This record gives sequence, C-alpha cells and structure tokens, in this order.
Amino acid sequence: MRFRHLAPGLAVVAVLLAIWAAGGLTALESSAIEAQRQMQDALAEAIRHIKRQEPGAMAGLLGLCFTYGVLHAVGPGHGKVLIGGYGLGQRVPWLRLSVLAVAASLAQAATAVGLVFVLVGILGWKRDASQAIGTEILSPLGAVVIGLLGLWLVWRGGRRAFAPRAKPHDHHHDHDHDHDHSQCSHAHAPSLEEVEKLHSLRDAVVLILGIALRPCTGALLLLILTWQLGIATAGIAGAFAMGLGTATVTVGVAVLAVFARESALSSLPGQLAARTLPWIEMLAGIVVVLIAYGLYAAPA
Amino acid sequence: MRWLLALIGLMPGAAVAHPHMFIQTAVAVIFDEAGLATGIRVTWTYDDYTSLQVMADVGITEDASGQLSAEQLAALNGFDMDWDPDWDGDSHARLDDRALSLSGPQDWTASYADGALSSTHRRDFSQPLDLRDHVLGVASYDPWYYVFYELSPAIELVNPPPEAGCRAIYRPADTAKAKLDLEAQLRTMQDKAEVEFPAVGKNFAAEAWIICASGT
Repeated sequence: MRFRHLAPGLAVVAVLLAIWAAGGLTALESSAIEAQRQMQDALAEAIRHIKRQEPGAMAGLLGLCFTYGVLHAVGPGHGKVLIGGYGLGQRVPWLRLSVLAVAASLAQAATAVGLVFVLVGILGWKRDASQAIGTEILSPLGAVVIGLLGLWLVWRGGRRAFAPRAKPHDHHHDHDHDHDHSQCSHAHAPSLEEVEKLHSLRDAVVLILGIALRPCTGALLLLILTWQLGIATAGIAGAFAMGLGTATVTVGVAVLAVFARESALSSLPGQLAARTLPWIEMLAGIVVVLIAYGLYAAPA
Repeated sequence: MRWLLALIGLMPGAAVAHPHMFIQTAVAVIFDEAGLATGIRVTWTYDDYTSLQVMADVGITEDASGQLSAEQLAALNGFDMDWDPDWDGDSHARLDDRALSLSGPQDWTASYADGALSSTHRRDFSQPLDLRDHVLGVASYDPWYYVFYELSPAIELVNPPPEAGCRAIYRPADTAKAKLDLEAQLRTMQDKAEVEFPAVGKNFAAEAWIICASGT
C-alpha cells in the first residue's frame, strides 16, 4: 500500500529510460549509420555548391542542416532526456517546456557559433584544437551543470517527500467534525498548485545552460569548415537550422513527458498526487544525475 | 544499490556517439619471397565531407575540374599519419585467436579522386608468418565509433605463394549477435561496478580472413 503511489513515478521513469536507451542502441543500427553517411556526403555537395555560388545552394544547405538536426537529435544527447526528465519531475506546463526546449537548442547552436568565432575566427586555431575545447572543456562543464540540476531536483523532491505533512490535517479533522473533508484537505494538504510554485525560472536558466554548454559536434565541424572556406555566414545559418531541427525532437519529448506526468498524476486522488510528485521529482533528479555522470565520463 | 549501478552501466546514450567520419577501408596482405606474410597495406578513403575538412585545414582546394595538383598532393601526403603514440591505428590483426602486434605506419601515400581523399600505409607484423593451416584475420574499427570503418569486400593478396592455396574471405559483422552480446555485457556490468561502456566497435566490424589451406 505504501509503495503503490510510487508506481506512476516508476512508470514515468521507465518511459524516460526507454527513450534514452533507445537513443544509444539506434546509434548502432546500420540504417542510422547509413543515413548519417548520406547526410555527410550531401553536406559536402551542398558546401561545394555554395562555394561555386550556385543558385539555391543556400536553401539546400539549410534544409540539409535542419534534417541533420532532426536525425541527430533522435540519437543520444542533445538534451532530449534532460528536457524529458525535467518535464516528468516538475509540473511545468507543456508550452513553457516546449519554449524552453527550443531555447536550449538555439542556445546550443549559439555556443557553437561563438566558440568557432573566437577560436577559429579570432585566434586562428585549427580544427582539432577548436573541437577539443568543445569536447574536453565545455562538454564536461555542461555535464557538471546538468548534474547539479539533478542533485537540486533530488534534494527538493526529498525535502518535500519527507516533510511532515499529516499533522495539520489530523488536528483539524479531530476537532471539527462537521467540517467538510474536501475543504479540509484543500486547506491543509500541500496542493498541486502549491507544489507548482517552484523556482522555474532559475531551473530554466540552468537547464538551458547545461544543454547549451555542450555544443553539437556536427555544428562545430560545419562552422569550422565554412569558416575556413570563407563562407562563414552559410555555416552560422546552418548551425541554427540544425538547432531548429534538434528542437523539433526535444519539443516532442517535452510534450510527451508532460502528457505522461499529467496522466500519471490524474489517475491518483488529488492529495495522493501531491504526495507522489516529490517522489517523481526525486526519481527524475536521480536519472538526470546519472545522465550527467554518463555525459561526463563519456569519451569525447 | 544494484539497480543504480545497472543504470550507470546503461550509458549507451552517452558513450556511443554517432560516427562523424566514414572511412572505406581496403586491406592487402603482403607476402615475401619465402611465402610468409610480412604485413598489411591499409587503404583509407575518406567521405567527401571529411575530405573537405582535411583540405580546408591546410588551405587546399580542388581546381575547377575537381583535381589536385602534384604539389598539393605532395603537401597532403602523410596528413593522417602523425599518430598519437597511444593510438593503435584502428587496424587489428590476429592469427587464429592470437592478437598480432603491428608496426607503426610506413611507406605512406595520398591521393584524391571524385571529392574524396585516400591514403595508404603499410604495417608490418613483428615477424613473418606462415599462414598455412591458420586463419589471419584483419579488421578495422574505432571502439568509440567516432570513425566508422567500412571494409571493402575486395581483399588483395600481394605476392601470395602459389602452392599454398591462399584465399581471402570477407566476413561481414554479425550485427544481430553483436547486439545480443552488448546487451549481455551491459547486464553483467551490474555485478562489477564497471562504468566504462564496452568497446563495441569490434563486434560490429567486418573482418578480412586470409586462409592458406595447403591440404585442400
């Protein structure tokens, strides 16, 4: 009985893990690898067209980059699981989470542009060294930020989950028998509305920062290449097109996460839902910490 | 705590990245006058995008007809031969079940055709090998999958001893089995607090087999 209210949370975490593990495994599928190869060949062709200043070349590159973003985001990384985990653990509305997902993807593209602008454009660094800054310094830093966000979710959920809550309810109940039950619980149990009052802006900033600090290798490579070829604007536009492509997937995950969470919560009576939420929040936090650890430990 | 370790073990999402470089690999096995195998020559043909990047790094662009001049090719020669001491070159050879050590790259070349850069290099075995009644296996893979090597089914034998009946066989990777193995490996990881993702590249790579069966 005590653990029954954990079930929706566990189901939700299971869905999250499935999305995540699927990303890792599909990366090994030969069809995914073949798609990636065709994409690279097409990118090379598009860049040659731009170099030769052929009409429509730019539109071709942007379309490719957008598709590249979508394809890439279906695989591992790109904040998909973080957005999903956060959406499951927090009562953030779907629209706000979707906006956050788009902002994070665009911020990730902006990081790549800024990085290449400084390292290649100003300092004149080569591809290997510039890429190393992204993978060896920024990415681990992003992982740390994400890990801290996860710990923060665990701590916040834990504080609420273990906070004494029965006392005011019982007290009231014992002394005022003609008092309406629903009113009673409304007045004294932590309501969903109360639980919702979170530091959502701060969370959003940390989440975006964590994702943005890990620039996508594909965007970095495109930016460096176009910079070296003297067609930097094409690369910058392409990087943002990739970001938008990535965002379509993360927004999808955001909506899915919110839907999963709300249907899990709505299957419970109000008060129980309020009590369950901190547990979901804790579990989501644990998953986020584990992902951050994986990102940190992953070979660059 | 076990489930927690299991979760950490299940880090494929993080550890397995998409390949960002595609290399068509061709393998040739070289024999000496005595009929012993002395080493391999590896040909790497890079995907167009990577080729563009490599050339942009050194400021080389093809001419209007899509060619590189002899000077440009000379400048490019060795572009991928400056190896980190701890990098094994992603080529792996074995005699039956024994892994063979390979020398560093030697005698390299570079060429360019149809928008793709190619290079070749030779790697010697530590001693010449008599392949009769043995299987020599050669495979190329990046354990971390940043580079995806695709082995060409055309495997060349250079100067094989005519009487030994040597032949080359292309062995495609058994990806279905590789995936099962990977899942099994991830499962056993729960028991050892081993965090590192298994180097799966090997199981997903095709292998060139050279068999010299004198009896048949």
